[in-house]
Amino acid sequence: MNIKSKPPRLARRILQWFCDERVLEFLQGDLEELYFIRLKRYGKFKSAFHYFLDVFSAIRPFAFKQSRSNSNIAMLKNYFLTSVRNFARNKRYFLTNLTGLTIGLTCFSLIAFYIINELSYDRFHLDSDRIYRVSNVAVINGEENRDAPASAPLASVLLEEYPAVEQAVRIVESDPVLLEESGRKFIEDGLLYVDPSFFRVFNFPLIDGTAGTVLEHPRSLILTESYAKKYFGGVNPIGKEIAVDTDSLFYIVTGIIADPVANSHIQFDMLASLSTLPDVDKGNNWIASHAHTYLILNNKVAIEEIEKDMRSIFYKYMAPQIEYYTGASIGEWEAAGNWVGYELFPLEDIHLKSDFAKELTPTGNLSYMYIYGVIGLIILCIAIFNYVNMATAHSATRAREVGVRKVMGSTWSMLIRQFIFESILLTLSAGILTCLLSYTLMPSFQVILQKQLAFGILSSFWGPTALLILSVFVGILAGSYPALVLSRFHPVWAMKGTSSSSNTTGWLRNSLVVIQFAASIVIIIVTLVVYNQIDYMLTKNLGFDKNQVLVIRRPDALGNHLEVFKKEIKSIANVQDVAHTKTLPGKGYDIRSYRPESRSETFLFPNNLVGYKYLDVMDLELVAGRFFEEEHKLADIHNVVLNETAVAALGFENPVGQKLTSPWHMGEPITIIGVIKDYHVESLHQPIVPVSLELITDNSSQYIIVKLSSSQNVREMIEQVDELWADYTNDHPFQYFFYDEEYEKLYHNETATANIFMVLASLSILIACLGLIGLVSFNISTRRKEVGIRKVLGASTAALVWLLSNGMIRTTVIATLVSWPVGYFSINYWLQNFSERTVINPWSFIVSTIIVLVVGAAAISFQTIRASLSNPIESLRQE
Amino acid sequence: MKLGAFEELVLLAVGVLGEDAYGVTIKEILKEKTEKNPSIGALHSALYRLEEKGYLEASEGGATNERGGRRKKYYRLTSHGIKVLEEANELRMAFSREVPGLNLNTSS
Repeated sequence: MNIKSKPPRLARRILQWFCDERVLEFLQGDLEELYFIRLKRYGKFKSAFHYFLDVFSAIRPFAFKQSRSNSNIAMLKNYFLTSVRNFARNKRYFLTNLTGLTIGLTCFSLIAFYIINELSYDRFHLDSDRIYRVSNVAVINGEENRDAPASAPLASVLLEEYPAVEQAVRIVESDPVLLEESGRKFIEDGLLYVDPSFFRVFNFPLIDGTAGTVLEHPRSLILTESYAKKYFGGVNPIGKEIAVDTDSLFYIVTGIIADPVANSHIQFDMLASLSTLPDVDKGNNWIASHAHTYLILNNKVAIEEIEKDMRSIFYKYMAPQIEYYTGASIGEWEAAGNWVGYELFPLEDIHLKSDFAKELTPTGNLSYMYIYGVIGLIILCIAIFNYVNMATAHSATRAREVGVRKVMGSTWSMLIRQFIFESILLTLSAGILTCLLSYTLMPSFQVILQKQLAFGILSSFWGPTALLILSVFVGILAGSYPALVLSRFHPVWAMKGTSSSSNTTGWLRNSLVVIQFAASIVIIIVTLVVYNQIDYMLTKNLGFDKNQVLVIRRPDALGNHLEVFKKEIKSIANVQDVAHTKTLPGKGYDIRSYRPESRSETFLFPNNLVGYKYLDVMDLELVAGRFFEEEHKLADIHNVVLNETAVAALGFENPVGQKLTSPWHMGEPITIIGVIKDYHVESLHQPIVPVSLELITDNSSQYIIVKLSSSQNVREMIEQVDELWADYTNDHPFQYFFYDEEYEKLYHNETATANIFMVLASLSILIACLGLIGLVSFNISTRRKEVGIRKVLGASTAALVWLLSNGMIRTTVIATLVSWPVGYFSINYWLQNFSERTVINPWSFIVSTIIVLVVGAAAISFQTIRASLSNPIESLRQE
Repeated sequence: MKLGAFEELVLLAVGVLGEDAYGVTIKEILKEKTEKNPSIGALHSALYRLEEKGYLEASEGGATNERGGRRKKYYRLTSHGIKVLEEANELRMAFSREVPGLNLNTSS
């Protein structure tokens, strides 16, 4: 028998807790026997789940402990009855508390699920703790380049020369490709080329096909389940042919794979064998790096040592190629401060901790997890404080009950138990509501996050179980202080109804309200600044104009018709300018090396290949010289345009006319013909970098960009472009986007954060206000006589409203004093993520306080105004 | 009526199993015969009730490894139990005969 697979301990504890010894032995024996029968049949998870069910099914009178059961069960019954009666008598009190706790718990559990989901990335592979990704890290011209992919030939060298490397697999991302299957055409950008060892390193389950052979031959294609459906419907796709782009041979479907789970950083729609691309697979290019290389290392290996040792790979294989391209010896090159090394990065850390560029999927951010976690806790605390406040405020109504119980012989600990039981009852109901709410809200939550989650609350029995445990925990936490207060009542005072509890607990209630308000203000401040920063990033002058730019993808489909097509588009009414380009800011730039003619230093600049009107379409500003022009067609092939930062790096005072050499021009000298103002080629997370622009001469353009003169009639214009496209490309799929919308996706993490904060901010105010209303109405009820007397003596309604609500203003002022510094420091922490930061506007702080003040005042106004308007006879006639 | 429908089934199951009637086997045979899966809690509850009423008698023993060394509680029909089953059956037969058009011979 396997000792590890015992029935879940929690369930066994529960069983032992309620079950009488006379029954326990036989019942537990039967349960265990059933557990092991199921273990063989269904596996660990399901049998554990059934064990829980079985234990719960046994909660029946026959099993209860006999000796104590009479008094214990009867007592519980009595507690239950009193609690329910108390809730029924104070419906508003009950509902306010239930709402507050449910909102708090729901926020907390949704956030917890999100965080757990982010932390679970890539842990589903069997060897996930031994899988490392190897990446090139380079310092070139004083700038550090950290790219996730490595050189393609690296994997086989590592496998051969390093015994610690057990397995290696390369993943090469494909550009968007055109797929054609029985006349239907699709452009796909979810294709990855992988080595056959893919299935030995990772555990993506194959649904059809054998892992050993599916990727054996070139042009083998594995479709995900949903893509098999997309292309072939219900027909078995194995052995079917698909034409891929310009490849003269068909790809053959060899397998079907389950859609990759959401918590995998490797996402794909289809996989093809890497041997399809012989240049990459068997090539010997060490300079270009686009193979994401993953290794399984054996356990006993020191990462730093391998990394250090791999420097020899650099000298042996890469250095000669660097010498070839730069023309300098590797000694000189390194003396100039350049450096290339390798870094091994653990697979499980990639999603949250990677600082590499060119990851397969956008990474998360660990600091955001902390922020979310803290905010989730804060909201839960606000909800707990709420309960503590309301329960202590209401304690006076229970005083008589406590008195009677004490007189009847109830001990202090029994009373504590009763009131904690009551609060657990409340939090458990909130927990059950939370369970339902989290389940129904999950889809909207994913919309707010702009992200798919791998699991939700009901994906495994751990979700509800954890939630119930959390509810009980919250119940104990929230219930202990009120229980303490209540149980301390002196029976004589309590019976006489002269309890002084509201005075002794007043300072605590007030400080809890202050904390709630302060937390709300902090969350609002953070929300406002997050929105400010996003607005700043989206509206900041990037050095180019991204508005009213239509981008058409894959113009290579036009072949020789590119120029004609552009001319036709230019003649459409609404079009100002048209250009084609290799890439766009935010879409990743290639690197090219340059060398001033008279010097031996080499400079590497991010480079883009552009067409003639690129400057006009992007609205870049020319500082000196000229841009590429059609009339200088031939000369411009060997000309280059640089930005100001690149010129500064080269150290030219008069850059225009200076000559450079570059390996991409085969030793032909190239001339700087123009200088453009700096612009951002990445999101504003990154600083400005040097950029070189060269004329595009081949068919490698990825985009046609079209500048519109107005935002009117855009739809007709697109229809016209679509028709032209269909004519010139022989019905290729037409794909376009608007550049500003696409650019916003770079700030996906931030917009998601802003959305979540917005929701959390509103909810935190809501819960805080619920508590406030409860407190104020309680306050008013204790001061009714005072209000009546004041009124009789001639106090005006306004004065009375002021009397009843000025406490809230005091609370807000103190909360403001606490929250502003806290808000300032937290927002500063978040802004460290950006290289271009918005100025923290003092208005964000003032507005937050005003919002809380106004919402709070509005919330209590109904109560205070009603109390002030009430007829004094009502409150005074009692005596 | 002295006997519930589920209790009757449990008694029958104990009778069928003879020497080997305890929680797990009774549950298995009930599942097999009735195609319903009674929860173990409901079953134990019924067994204790029937023992109290005197229809079943219990003996303890047969600890095995799968049970973590815990003993089983074996049940056997008492003569009282057998009688109550017979009565229940007779009552049902007598009652059923009065229903016109109910064919009682082919069902076996």
